[in-house]
Amino acid sequence: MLRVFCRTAALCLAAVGIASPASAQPRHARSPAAAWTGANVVRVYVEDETAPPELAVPPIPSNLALVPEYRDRVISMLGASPTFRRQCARIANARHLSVSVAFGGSPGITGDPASTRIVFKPDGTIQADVRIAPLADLDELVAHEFEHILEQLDGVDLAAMARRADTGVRAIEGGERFETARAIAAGRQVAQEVRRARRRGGA
Amino acid sequence: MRAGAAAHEKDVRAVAALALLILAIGGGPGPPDEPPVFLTVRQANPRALPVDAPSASVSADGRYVAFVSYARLAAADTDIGSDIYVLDRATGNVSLETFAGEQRVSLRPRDGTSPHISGDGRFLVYETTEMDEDRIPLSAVAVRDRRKGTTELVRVRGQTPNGGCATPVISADGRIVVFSSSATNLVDGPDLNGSAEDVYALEMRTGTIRRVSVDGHGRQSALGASYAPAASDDGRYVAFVSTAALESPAPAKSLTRPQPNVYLRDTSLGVTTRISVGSGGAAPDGNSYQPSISGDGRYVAFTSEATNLASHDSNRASDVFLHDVRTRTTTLISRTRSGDSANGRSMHPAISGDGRGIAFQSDASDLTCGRGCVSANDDMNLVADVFLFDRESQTVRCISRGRAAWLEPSLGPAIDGGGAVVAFSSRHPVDARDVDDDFDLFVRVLPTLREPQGRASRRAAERE
Repeated sequence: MLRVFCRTAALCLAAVGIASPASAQPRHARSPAAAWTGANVVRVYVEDETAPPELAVPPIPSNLALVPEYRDRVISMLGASPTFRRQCARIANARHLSVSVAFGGSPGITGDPASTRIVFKPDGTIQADVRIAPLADLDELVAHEFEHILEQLDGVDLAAMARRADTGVRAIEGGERFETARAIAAGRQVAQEVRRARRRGGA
Repeated sequence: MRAGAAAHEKDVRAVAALALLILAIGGGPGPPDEPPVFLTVRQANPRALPVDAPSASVSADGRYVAFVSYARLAAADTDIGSDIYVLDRATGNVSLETFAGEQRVSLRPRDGTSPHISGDGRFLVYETTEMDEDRIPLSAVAVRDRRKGTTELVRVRGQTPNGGCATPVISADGRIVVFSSSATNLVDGPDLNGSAEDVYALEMRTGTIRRVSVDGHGRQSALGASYAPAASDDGRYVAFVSTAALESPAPAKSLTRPQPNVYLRDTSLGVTTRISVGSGGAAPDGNSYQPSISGDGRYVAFTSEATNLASHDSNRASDVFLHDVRTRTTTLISRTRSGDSANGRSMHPAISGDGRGIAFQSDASDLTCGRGCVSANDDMNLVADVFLFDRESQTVRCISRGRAAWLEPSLGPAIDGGGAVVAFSSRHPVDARDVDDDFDLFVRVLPTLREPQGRASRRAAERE
């Protein structure tokens, strides 16, 4: 016959009559019913463009190395932008990843104000070097480049996607580099959130 | 006068607030870009790679959502493993449903995956782990009666299966539990394919079990395995994947390599039909899997890597197809508005009980617009999203998004009987505080497909 498990031994015996003795039941089998119910764990989520609640500013991820000149700005972004906080949280959670952000002129010939070089090392670690030109729109560009790093954490095959139509991935410089609509959108979103926070005087 | 003016102003503000609230939750026609409303619950799925198997099941009436969660949502949940919870949308409560009972047979204090819930939410089946007599962990199928508060592990004639049992589903009426198993002692007689998996149907009332993955003569194939079942509302029809050749009549020549195909077994008539066929009866040139069946068994949605099941399939990626058993036609549904195959892979279809709505996940970015897409509709996150195909209007829309597209992946949809409630997992944050890099449950109530937008929205909001 069937082995029967119950939350309460009495109910189990009444229902089937062959339950294990109560002594065989783990302690939580005799817990009150309320313990089995989660209250206040369901939330109603509606997309909200209003100001985020005041939150403690999280620390800069330990695997993110910044030149000192960018440090205060990144802390400010962490305080102002939920999207940027999530980007940094993902970076912080990726223990095999190291990110450095430094000044850099355009590393390519296209004159881009920012770029990221991502290296997958034989030992499984990932090194991402972000270069951002001075005087550039730092908020947008840092978030933009961080999103490129997250794309790689997501396992996105940029070369394959660039070969298909309308994927939002574009190969540049003969397929050596890529631009994505996703990174552009993330950069703009963070910049917008930072601007809103500054208007509120929150950051 | 002053007091009266203040009261009037207060009334006006109250009416305005009410009007805004009604608009916000979807009552009335509303603007087309009103934000969708989701219920969310923490799943805290810690996997670094996206989960790609459905981790939720919606009851036919749409009230209950069974789901896997690693988060401790109830006080009785004291372990770190995955548990099965059920969300009751009517009360807003979730209840812990996994319970391993005797320590002797459980590998961990509790664990549960692959939940599937009956039509009225009374019965729940899920996959768990137990130790066999040699202390070897085996997957097992648990059947829970939520009304009685009992949980049973599937046994046959008092015997423990001598192989793992997995991916259970329960018919909407709660009578039949269908699952795959590598056990060889579930039915009488020799198991011709040995420890390769077969699909079995267990009649809960009588305890009768029979092998479903057989050909039209009721014969088991000595070669191949069968798995991933789906059942119609009354359990009469069972769709499953098999690498065995089960069609009737048998194919003229044997397959050179085992290729997964989707089959449908009519357990009343004893007929087995291959579902993964082109409309002209052509054999597929790629693997087919992940079947989902409508309540009456007429429609079977499935994933296939084949390129010859429908015209316009040129993307060299898996797609989602819908087979109409009555007309013997197969239709590509993960397609662009122009009818072409999408620019990314699609998978994990979940068909509503009435067969009209098919939810699925897709990496493609051109399902809802394609070339000339306006930027507001751009699906640019480069990862999977959840979409809903409406068989009547023949349109596809994205479910896992707000007014703007989400940047994070959304996976593993489940759908109710009427196509009004879709549940899925997403890494999209549930609020500004959510910075965890994990997947949570999102439940979206849609205007029912058969009703005008305004009335249906209001009803959906009321259900919330």
